[in-house]
Amino acid sequence: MATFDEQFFVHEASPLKRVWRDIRLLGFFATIVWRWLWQGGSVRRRYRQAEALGQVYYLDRHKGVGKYGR
Amino acid sequence: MKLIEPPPASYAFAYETTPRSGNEINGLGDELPRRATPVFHGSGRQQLEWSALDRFFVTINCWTNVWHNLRNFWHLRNADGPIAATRLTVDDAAAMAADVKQRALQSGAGIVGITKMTETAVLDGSSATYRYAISIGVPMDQDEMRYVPQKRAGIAVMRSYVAGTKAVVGLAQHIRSLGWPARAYGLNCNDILQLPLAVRAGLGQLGKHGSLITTEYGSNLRLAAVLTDLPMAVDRPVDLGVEDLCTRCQRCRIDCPPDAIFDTKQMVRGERKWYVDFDKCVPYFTKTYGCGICLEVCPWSESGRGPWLSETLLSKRDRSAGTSNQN
Repeated sequence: MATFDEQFFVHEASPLKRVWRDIRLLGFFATIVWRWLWQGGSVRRRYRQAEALGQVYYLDRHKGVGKYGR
Repeated sequence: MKLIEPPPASYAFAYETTPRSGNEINGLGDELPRRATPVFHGSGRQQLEWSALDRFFVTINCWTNVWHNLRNFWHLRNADGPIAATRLTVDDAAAMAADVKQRALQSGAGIVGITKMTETAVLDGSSATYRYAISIGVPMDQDEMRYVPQKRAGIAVMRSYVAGTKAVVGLAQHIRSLGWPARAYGLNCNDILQLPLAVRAGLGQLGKHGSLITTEYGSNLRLAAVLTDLPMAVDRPVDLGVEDLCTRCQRCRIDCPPDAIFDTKQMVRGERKWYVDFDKCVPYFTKTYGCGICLEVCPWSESGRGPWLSETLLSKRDRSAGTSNQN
């Protein structure tokens, strides 16, 4: 898996590369927000249900949304 | 400080397949020195043993903190970058250190220190081949931190983290403009351990609750760092008298709902030090969106108390040393 550094650090003094990086980063943010709302919403709903019913929500059964959107 | 009644340490979440103990991964009981292994918050490079809980923590956290996380990433994009072709010659390392510290304080740091980089501060599987580390502490909003372990306090923590990232990224950019390599490490930069660097840079001492204690802010601060090759005069570790108090004080241990704080120092990767039981702490940390009770109840964290406490503890030690010498 590529890290944040590998994906978004620009080591050359090229304005064009930096702009393109910023656009990609905004796309990365959109993915995180979308997954947090959509996939995350389902996790939060199931967790709240489990909490209300006194049951256990199993972390390894459902994939949550990490800070890197995966 | 009186705490808002914290929720019990019972959980509506669990692992179906129990992961390897975080204490074992952290090297609790290990006599041999070695680098720390990432276990919970990762750099995204690989799946960690406790990644599912980390993902769950992010997922159940509030939107405001997701927003702060994105702001943090936005700053972090410039954590490393191009280095100016002309390199500034540094004749006076002490003057350079003073200049860097001044800039750090102007960028939002509350305290700053410089140390030589050490291999033991780099996590296993990562590399950071720089000579110096500039460690900064950013204070947290004390009024908001009174609400631990509620979301409101978690948001205040995130705000300080983002402020720390912003400060170190700006500082790293400045150093690179002088022609020296520099890389900023803030929130979500999980390749290095901030705490040992902060202790070596003289920001404070490790407390019983496993966090930094400073005279200026107690434990009410977040850490960030810049690693660089820019020659600078380094600071020395400080003795504030933390050991004298932590060995007797029980406050954080008693107030910790999951009972994660040990009363005595533990052997961790070849070093006897204060250590917090990972397997007990992290589920509660997750349930409460970042907990922070131990930081807030620490006697050092009370505003304005640190300098007095340090002076009292050190003079008491001097007096008892004098008495034993006379005997």
